[in-house]
Amino acid sequence: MKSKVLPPLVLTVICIVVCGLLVIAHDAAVKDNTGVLTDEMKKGCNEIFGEGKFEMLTEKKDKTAEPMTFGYKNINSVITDKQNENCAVEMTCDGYAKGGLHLLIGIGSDGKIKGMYFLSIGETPGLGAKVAQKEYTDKFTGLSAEDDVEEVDNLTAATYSSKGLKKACEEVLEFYTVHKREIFA
Amino acid sequence: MSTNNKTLYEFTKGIIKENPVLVTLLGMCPTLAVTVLAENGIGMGLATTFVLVCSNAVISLLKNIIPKAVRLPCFIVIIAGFVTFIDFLMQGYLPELHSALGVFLQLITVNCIILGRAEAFASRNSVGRSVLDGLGMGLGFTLALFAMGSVREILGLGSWFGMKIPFLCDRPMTIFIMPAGGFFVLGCLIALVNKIAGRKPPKEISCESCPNAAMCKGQCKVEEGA
Repeated sequence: MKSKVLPPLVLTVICIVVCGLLVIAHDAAVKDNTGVLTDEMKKGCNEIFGEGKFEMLTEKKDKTAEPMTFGYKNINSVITDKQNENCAVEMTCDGYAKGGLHLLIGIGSDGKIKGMYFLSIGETPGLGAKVAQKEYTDKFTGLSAEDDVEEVDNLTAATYSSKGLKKACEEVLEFYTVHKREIFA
Repeated sequence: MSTNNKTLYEFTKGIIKENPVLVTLLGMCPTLAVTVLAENGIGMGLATTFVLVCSNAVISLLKNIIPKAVRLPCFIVIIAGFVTFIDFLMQGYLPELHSALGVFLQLITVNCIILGRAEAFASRNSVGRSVLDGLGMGLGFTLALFAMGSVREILGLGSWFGMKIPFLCDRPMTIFIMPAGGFFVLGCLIALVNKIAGRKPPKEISCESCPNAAMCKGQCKVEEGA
C-alpha cells in the first residue's frame, strides 16, 4: 500500500511546492508592460518623429485600460502625437522566427512612412537581423498606401525577414488609411 | 586521493577531463544553436550553470525522500522549476538575451547534462559534492559555449562582443554562423581538447576509452549482460 501511495504523494507535493515558488518568482520578476508607453518606445518615437507629446491609445476593457489594436492581430498598440498628427504603430510580426520582428513603424501626417524603430529582433544575427539596419529600413521611408511595398528588394540571405517586414509595412499603411479618423479623433 | 584533492577534483573534472560538451558530447542542441555570438554562449552557459547547481543541490538534499519509482519525474519537475525561474528573471531583467536564446532557454529542462548529473551524481552524493560537481560541469559547459561562440562570431560576423574586427568585419565568412560552420567549429574544438588531454582514438570500445567510465563504474556492462 505504502509503495503505491508514497511515490505519487511525493511527486504531488514537489509539484505544489515548485508551482507555489514560481508564482512568487513571477510576481517579483516579470513586469507586464502591455498597454504601457515604455521609455524604449518613447525613445523610438522621438527617433522617428523628433520631440513630441506621445500618448498610447487605450480603451477600457473589464475596468482596465488596454491598448487599442483595432482588431489587427499583429498590431500591439498605437501611439499618437495628436498635435503634429504623427502616429507610431507597435507591431510584432513573423520573420524567419515566429514573432521575430517587434518594431515601431512611424507614419507622418501625410500618410507616408517616416521611419521605423526596432524594439527587439529575434531573427538570426548576421542574416535576418540585418533587416533592422538603417540602410535597409530607409528603403521604406516615404512609402504610402498608394505605393507597392513589394517593390522593395529583399535582403540576400534574409528573404523571410525581409518579407515579414514588408508585410508589416503593408498592414500598417492599410490600417492607417482605414482608421485615420479614429486614430486622431 | 586525499579529501581535499577529491573535493577539488569534483570541481575541476568538468572543465577539461569530463567536459560535458567537448568530451562527453552532451547538450549538443543548445551548443550548436545558440553559439552564433560569444555573448549568447556565456548567457546560455551561465543560465545552465545556475540550473545545474541549484537542481544538483536540491536533488541531493531530497535523495532519501524521493522514491525510486518516481525519481525521474521528480528530477524533471525540480529542474523545470529552476529553468522557469531563470526564464522569468531573464524576461524581466535581460529581455534582449532572453529573446536571443529563444526556445533553447526553456529547453534547458531537457538538457541531458542536467538530467545526467542529477541521475548519475547528485542522487548518490552529498550536497556539497553535488554543488561542486554542478559548478564544475556548468563552468565547463560555459567555457565550451564561449569558445564556440567566440570563434563563430569572429569568423562569421567579423566582430567579438559587438566590437568590429578590422579586415574580418568587411569580409565575414557567413558559413561559420550557419549550422555547417557550427559543426565544423565543434569538431575542431573537440580535436583540440583531445590533443591537450593527450587522448587517442580507442582501438576497441571499453571502459578504458570511455569518458563516462568514472561515473558509470562498469554498470553499463552489467546492464548489457542482463
